[in-house]
Amino acid sequence: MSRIAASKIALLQTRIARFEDQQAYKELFLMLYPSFFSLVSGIIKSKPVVEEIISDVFIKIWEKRKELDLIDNLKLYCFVSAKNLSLNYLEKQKRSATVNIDDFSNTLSSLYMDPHQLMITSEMRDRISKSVDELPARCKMIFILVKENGFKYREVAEIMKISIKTVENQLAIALRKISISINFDLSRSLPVHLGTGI
Amino acid sequence: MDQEQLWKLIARKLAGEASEDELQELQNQLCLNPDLHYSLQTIYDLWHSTPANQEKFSENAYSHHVERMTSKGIAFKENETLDILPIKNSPNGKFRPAAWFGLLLLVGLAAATLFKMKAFHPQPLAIIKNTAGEIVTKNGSKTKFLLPDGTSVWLNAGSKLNYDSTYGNTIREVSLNGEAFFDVVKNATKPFIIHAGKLNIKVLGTAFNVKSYEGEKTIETSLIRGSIEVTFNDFSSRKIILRPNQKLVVSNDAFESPHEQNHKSLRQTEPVVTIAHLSHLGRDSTPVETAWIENRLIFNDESFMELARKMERWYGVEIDFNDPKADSLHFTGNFSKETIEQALNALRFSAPFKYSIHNNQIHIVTNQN
Repeated sequence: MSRIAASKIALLQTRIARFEDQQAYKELFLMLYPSFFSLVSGIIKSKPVVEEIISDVFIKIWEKRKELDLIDNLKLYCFVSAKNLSLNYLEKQKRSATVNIDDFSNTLSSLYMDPHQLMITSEMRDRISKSVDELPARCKMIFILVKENGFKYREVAEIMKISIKTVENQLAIALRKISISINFDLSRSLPVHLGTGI
Repeated sequence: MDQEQLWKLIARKLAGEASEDELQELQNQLCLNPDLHYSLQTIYDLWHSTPANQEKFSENAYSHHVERMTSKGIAFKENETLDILPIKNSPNGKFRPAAWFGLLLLVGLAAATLFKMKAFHPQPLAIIKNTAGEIVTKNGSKTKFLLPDGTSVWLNAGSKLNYDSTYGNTIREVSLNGEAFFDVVKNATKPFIIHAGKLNIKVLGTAFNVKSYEGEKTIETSLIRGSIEVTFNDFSSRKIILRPNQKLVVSNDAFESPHEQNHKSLRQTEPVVTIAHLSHLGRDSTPVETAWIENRLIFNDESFMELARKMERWYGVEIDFNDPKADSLHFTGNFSKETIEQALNALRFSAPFKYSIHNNQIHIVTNQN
């Protein structure tokens, strides 16, 4: 996670723990909500349930506010918590023993791309979106966790209960696939008599 | 290094996991893989782009959350929440109040605006909106200035840029005769369009160079960063998109000998177009095409007359030859702080010629053997 984001969260944590600061609590919620939403939506399809699960996580934060300062990495803690609650919910629904995160196709609502901001055409943007959407579920989740949430490999490994090596491999695969889709798109947009190779 | 390893290295850099050594190694690898540059640049931009403003979405969720908490009997009486904005990711492209103030101040100060600049100004002058402008440079001088929307333009010697009073209303349109380097301010709603000879260049990205001198055989545009879309006046269906580090060279129809023109049939011929990589000389990373911005004239195996034309603009002189066969002499090198005489003397080291210089007229005499 970026150092700025990490220290902001640490500051809010302290205000909540020491002063029961409700403004800080609200800011923490606003700051983390979009990425939590994205994570949990990858697992749970029903929006009201997604909101409930996130709400439960934050209720826990409030109820444990006096000890909040003891948590080393709050964002990671919350993510693990949200993930566990989601899987518990699913288990209850399915009445099955274990549920694997690989089984889900994420809705990648978090990958926002403004073509003009990125200096790409909208065709290119669609192609990139598509290649990210088509990533295998686990690969895509890892990509989101690192890109959107700034988690380190070690943290991602903890959330997903996989090895750090796997995280590294999967991220590399994701990036390479995106790169292939960019180059493919480009090679089709040059209808000229080529004097030299590109 | 195999591809798998390379991509792990790229991943580590993006994830912030790479050590100094790994970063250095990545740099080295990238030099060996120029094909990756464009997609990597796009990926880097993508990686750092911030998500759309999701405030409203999160605010709503928060109110539901608080309602839910109270309905569960959890003690949470919301205090008067102040709407302070200390911790917010500001979306790209929006000006914060401080920046707006700065901009207004700058425009206010630029009350006396120069439209014809002759000397090279290190500080760009702001230009008031809603007036037409024409910036002209003579041979021997270059200039840098800002268009009303903040786009930077470096205008090379012997060039002219025009824009009218509607600049920036719906689109940002300029006409160029000569050579200029543009660093375009991003504005998705107002495309930036350059008319250069028969080329129309629509900017999707930022930094690029356009060379379109009347009387030259070709029009060139070189892309440094971002992406540009080029169309032709007479072939509006033809569209070319350039990638960074590419250059587009188009033959300039106007430059035709009378002999060629006689043979031209009535049907329009397609412009001859080549796309090439930008040339880098040696270990220097400045592309040759934009060295003039950094005050260096670089030439690579150029014929004497072509070089002479460049030197005319660079130094603000006139050069003529007693023998057109002098054009068969070729030169490679670069000038920065040399005077015209020093430059000519340097050239004489590698080719047999004499020159005489009177005011700003230079006469080249090659030995007729």
